[in-house]
Amino acid sequence: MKKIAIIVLTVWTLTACNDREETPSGMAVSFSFSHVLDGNPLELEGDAFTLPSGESFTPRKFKYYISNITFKNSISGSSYTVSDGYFLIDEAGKKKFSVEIPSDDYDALTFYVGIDKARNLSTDQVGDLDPSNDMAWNWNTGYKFLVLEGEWEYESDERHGLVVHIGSNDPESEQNFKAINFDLASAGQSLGSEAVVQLDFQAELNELFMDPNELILHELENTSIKGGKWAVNIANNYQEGFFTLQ
Amino acid sequence: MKKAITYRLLLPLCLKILLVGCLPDAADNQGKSPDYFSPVVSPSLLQEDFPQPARNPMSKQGVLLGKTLFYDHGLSANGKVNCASCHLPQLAFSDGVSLSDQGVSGKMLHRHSPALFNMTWHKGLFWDGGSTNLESLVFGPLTHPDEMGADLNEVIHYLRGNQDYSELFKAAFKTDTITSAFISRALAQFVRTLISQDSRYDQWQRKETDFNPQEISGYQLYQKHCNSCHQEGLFTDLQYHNNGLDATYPDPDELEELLLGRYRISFDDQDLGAYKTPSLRNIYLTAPYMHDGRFETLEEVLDHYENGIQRNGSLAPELENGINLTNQQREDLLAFLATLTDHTFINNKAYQK
Repeated sequence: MKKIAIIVLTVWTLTACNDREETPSGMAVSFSFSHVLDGNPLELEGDAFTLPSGESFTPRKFKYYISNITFKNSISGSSYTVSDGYFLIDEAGKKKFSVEIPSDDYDALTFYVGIDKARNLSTDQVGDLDPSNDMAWNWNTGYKFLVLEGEWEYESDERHGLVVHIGSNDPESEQNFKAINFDLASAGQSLGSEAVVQLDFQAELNELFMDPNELILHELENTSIKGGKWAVNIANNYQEGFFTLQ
Repeated sequence: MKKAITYRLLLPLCLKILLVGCLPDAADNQGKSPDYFSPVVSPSLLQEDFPQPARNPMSKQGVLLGKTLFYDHGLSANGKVNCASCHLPQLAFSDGVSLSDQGVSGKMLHRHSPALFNMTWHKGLFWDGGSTNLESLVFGPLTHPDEMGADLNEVIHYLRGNQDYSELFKAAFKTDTITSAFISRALAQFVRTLISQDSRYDQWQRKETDFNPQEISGYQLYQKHCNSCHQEGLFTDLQYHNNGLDATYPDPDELEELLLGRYRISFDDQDLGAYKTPSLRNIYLTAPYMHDGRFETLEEVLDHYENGIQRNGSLAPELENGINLTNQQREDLLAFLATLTDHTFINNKAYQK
């Protein structure tokens, strides 16, 4: 009797205290991101690239948040969302992360660029959301979802700054918080019973400047974009065709 | 029978082990828990409770840490500026100048330092309400290049290298790793303790003192002319209004919509030139007035409301016809406003270095 009680107690204690109670024997999915501009590997502070609109551009900073990652099995209808997953991808820093998810035959994946409103306006500044990562606004509550900075010039030697800071679930909608959808099946990446899965994403920065909204720097009044119409336009540009699964 | 007894004995034991085993810091927490508290609120503030974020409840230790940080020059880029450089206790935590140049760059700021008190009830912070909680507000003044100019990584490095801070953080948050989240939480806790609720007005409301006839007349004038925006209790409605300071709002590139008021945050045309209603509490201590400190005296403020209002599409409807007072009424109103000065608050040693 006593033995049984101890076994019950032990099992109970172990399961109850396991943080990943809801994610038993799962798979580890590694996400890695690479960035290209005009088809060439992105290089910060290096040679100038040519933008679709013809300006030459030297990037200095490029980073963004990935969050709300959800895997779906469209056959069974089941899905799994990575809880509390906010990952900063920084061209000058970390470009990979991994998550553990329960095993299933997932054929679709969604992640968001940016931070959902609930967390964006909360007081939780932990993990990759630490404001020392230079992604928190300092005159507003919340985070920059995507940052691209650099210098551009057009038909002259005069260099101008480009500052693209996109954020804000403004004002009452979440219009800059963008879902990116991937069909894992057609990308030949359906997940199954593997213990470890590697997903490699590539982002083409050209896409930030076109489709559906053409961004011609030398025609803008101001190339410091921190909100308003152009932030929305650029967010719409990166929602489609920006990321590809390799 | 025997079986039943065994389970009865085991169950509480199981629960105890489970609870202890599941506490997040059970293993490394040797010290005692922070002493959490909620301040006593005077009924004259007309507030039902004292809001605190679930993630950052106030504790004696957290407040002490916050106060230490508030007065520490070491948080600024040049080691010469602290929070109190622009938020002085004797001026109800405002600074007495229209636009400060006390920041690390010496450049003049674009908005007047707001007074700090009764902040826990504010839904939006800064003059335009951009920040929605004290925990995220802190990073504005701390990191702005013309204010404290801090690099958060350097601040953390500085704090981690200081044994006193290690102990203060451990006592407040049971943490061995100082991060910016805990810095802001501590500062927010300290600022939440800055409660002004013992002016003569409060004492009058609590029936501890009497008003003279002039103060009563002034109170009635306040109720008639000011109460719609400066609502009794906190003496602000915590909302944003265009009070007719300017007819148009310039938008130079370098200021990034800073002169558009609340519009910068809400993108709502009705918020053009709108700023948060400041509290009338401690108004005699918090000159100069308005978001840019353009009025030196309360007389100038009353002149503005009488005949200075600039009319445009976003003007607060209450101010369409201005506020007209006789000289006697002005004196009475000013006599009432003087009852809102809280000497207990500004002399409270608990708030001072």
